[in-house]
Amino acid sequence: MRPGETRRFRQSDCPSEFALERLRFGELAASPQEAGLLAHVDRCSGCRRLLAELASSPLPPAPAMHRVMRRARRVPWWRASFAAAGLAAAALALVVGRRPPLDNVTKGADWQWTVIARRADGVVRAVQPGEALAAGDRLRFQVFTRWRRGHVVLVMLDDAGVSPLVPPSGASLPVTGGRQTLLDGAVELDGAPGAERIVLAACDESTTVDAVLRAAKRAFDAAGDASRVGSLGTGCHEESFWIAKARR
Amino acid sequence: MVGRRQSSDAESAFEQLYRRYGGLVLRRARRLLSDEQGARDVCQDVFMQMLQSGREVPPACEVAWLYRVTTNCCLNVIRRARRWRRVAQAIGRADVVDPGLSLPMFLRGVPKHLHEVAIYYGLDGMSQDEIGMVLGLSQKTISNRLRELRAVLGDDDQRTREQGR
Repeated sequence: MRPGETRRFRQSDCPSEFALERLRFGELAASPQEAGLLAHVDRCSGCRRLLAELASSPLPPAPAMHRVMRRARRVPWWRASFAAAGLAAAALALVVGRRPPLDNVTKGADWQWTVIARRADGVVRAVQPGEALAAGDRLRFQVFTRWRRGHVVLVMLDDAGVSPLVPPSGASLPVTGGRQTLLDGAVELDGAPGAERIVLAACDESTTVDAVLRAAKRAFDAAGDASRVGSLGTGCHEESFWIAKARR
Repeated sequence: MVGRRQSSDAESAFEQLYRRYGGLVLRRARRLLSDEQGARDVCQDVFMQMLQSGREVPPACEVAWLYRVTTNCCLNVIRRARRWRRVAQAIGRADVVDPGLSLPMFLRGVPKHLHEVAIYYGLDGMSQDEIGMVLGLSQKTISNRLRELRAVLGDDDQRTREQGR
């Protein structure tokens, strides 16, 4: 009997095939709907035939099921590409020999920092690189890292040489990743005009101001000029910020 | 070892589901597509969806879930066939056009968002409650869609009559 044939024997008040399938699979067990359906099936030969037909529906061929399982086990191409890219990145990291500093907590640049100036007239604002500042202006520094934590030291290079900024001495300042940290301590600019270079040394591990100063002095002595100094050679991440001191 | 055992358990559970509901899915796909090979492909797609997405079939609603997924897979096959027919006609290769299916004729002129409702109501003779259960929609939404469907079909009938005059 073909599927269409049974339907001809069914009445307009017969339940849908969907309802009979639910009945057959026991989804209506102990529900009021089940009792009604069973009562109908008892008196309707068309529905009885359809139920028998549903129960004897042929299964899809077995090889189809095995194909589904094979397809499900197969790794999608995009996942395989990601895995390959991950392996390549790991291999590259091994070749280059550079250890990532720490676990990152956010996306974006490794380190960001802002120089904040409080001018003599009381105005407080973020300083732009190269901006002219005057003697008496006080500077503070805000640091952000996407790594889980870090340690920072700020030093200044100018024509006179190298000097510590924040902290003035001792151990580096710890910074927690994922949020802005306003570093303790402010620096008041002196009256000597000219360009000054502020260098942020951001390290994985705690260091000391002396260690950074020694490295900076070596680099300064080798270059002879603050503008010609490349890396300080601290072994940490370094970023520079230039300001211009003008007479007021 | 544990991973392999878990995988084997999952495969055994899947095999049980396949044996239990495979007949229902194949029968429905055959009915909607009137094409044996297409129905077998749909059957694989339905069970692949079940396996790959890790989707749990809601308990006591297996039939409704399988009805919905099978119907959607069949509609995808029909839509692909329609696109293919258009491309074949555009390049002047009418000889490679897929043979016509009965369901596309049934759905002709019915907006895409009403296809499922049209099948469940017009072809399967399901009640509003049953359609709501399969689609996971409220009675009100089903009622509105059926009203919209009747309006579309009414317009179509009228157009056919006018063309016949």
